[in-house]
Amino acid sequence: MKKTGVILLIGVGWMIAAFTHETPLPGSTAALGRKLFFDPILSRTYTISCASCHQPAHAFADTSAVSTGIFNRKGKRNTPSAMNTRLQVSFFWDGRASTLEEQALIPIANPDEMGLPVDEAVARLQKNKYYRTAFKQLFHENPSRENLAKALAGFERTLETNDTPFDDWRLHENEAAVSAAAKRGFALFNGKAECIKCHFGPDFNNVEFRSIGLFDGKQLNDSGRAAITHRATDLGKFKIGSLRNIAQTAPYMHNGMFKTLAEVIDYYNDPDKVVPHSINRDTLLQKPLSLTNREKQDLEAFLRTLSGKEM
Amino acid sequence: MKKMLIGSVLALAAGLYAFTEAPHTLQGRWENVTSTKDGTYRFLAVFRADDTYDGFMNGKAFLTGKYHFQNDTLTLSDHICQEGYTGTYFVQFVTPDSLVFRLINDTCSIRREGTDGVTFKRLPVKP
Repeated sequence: MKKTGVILLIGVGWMIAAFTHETPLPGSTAALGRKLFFDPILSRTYTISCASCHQPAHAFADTSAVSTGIFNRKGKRNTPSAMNTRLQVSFFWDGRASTLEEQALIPIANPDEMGLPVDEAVARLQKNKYYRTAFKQLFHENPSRENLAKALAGFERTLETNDTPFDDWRLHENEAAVSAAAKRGFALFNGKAECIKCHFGPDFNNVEFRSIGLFDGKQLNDSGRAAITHRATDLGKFKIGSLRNIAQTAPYMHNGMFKTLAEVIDYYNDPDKVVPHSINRDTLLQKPLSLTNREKQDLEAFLRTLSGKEM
Repeated sequence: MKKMLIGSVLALAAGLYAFTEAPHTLQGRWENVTSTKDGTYRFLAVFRADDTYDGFMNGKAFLTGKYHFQNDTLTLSDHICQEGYTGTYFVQFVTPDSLVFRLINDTCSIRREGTDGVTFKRLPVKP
């Protein structure tokens, strides 16, 4: 009987604690941004958060060719990873945003994604006691368009990957960090496969827009960068994607048309076999690479060394 | 007279020291740190004894190549700029542990922008 009383008391105490417990306020802009990133409060229907499409388990990308937004609406392009954005100078496949802060607000308002005008999102945050207090504590003002963008961007800037087996190999001269196949793949990446001509820099993506031949004006009719710049020379060009955590971000390309890395490598090996009448394809991809099966496997082995430990 | 003699001896000693001073070495780890409103950027260059070098930005490996260093002149070639295209820089040692790269000739604009005038400090060797 005494035992039951003690258990009951502990249970009641636990329940009171659980009901009166308040979520601690975030201690930094990035921590606030993280909370917002995972909170569906920023979608019209309270059902979609940034993390619905930028999923941590998939390097903050999605596994669908195009993501599903509110009311099951389909997006138009493959969700890029929200990781390794700190060194980027343009955002989205077509580069329509030039800062992370500018980028952060666009999916909130996009009718196919979160569908909530940013002013309404801000009004929601201002009405929410937790967020009102958190923003006041960190920014010394109420939630606004500017500090919402700062918080989300601040969180995204923390999502950097510099602990891959490849980094370990090069930085610590740890020869065991990557396989012999991956080392051969790295040599191919820099040589015969010519990947490095576009994929270079700390995130292996350069700052350019290129047309890899996925525009034919028929089945493949996303004009990409040209819709932003209105220049014919930009037809079918897209931002060169980062290769960090690439093994986790399938499917690939702006339209998610390739399900595996092997399919991607096959495409680059001979683009005409997949898209025979592409328009404005980059001259770098004029001739087949003539990679052997083993070379393709080696290249894939190298790409797989670009995943961070968390992945 | 005595003063002149001491002065001459000192000058001779200084001259001898200058001629016997060991040549500068590039081998090791060199870092450039730049702070902006968006945070800190750490560019690390590792020059190895086997004449290869690597570059890292905030811990991310991104550059591998070969180098030749003689008489404070550095010749670089890497995959990003294509191996046939070399860049040549005068390495101005501010102290034995800090240096500035000064462009002599480099047709690769990306490498030139990331190297010319950039100051590096040598990182201590880990025990």
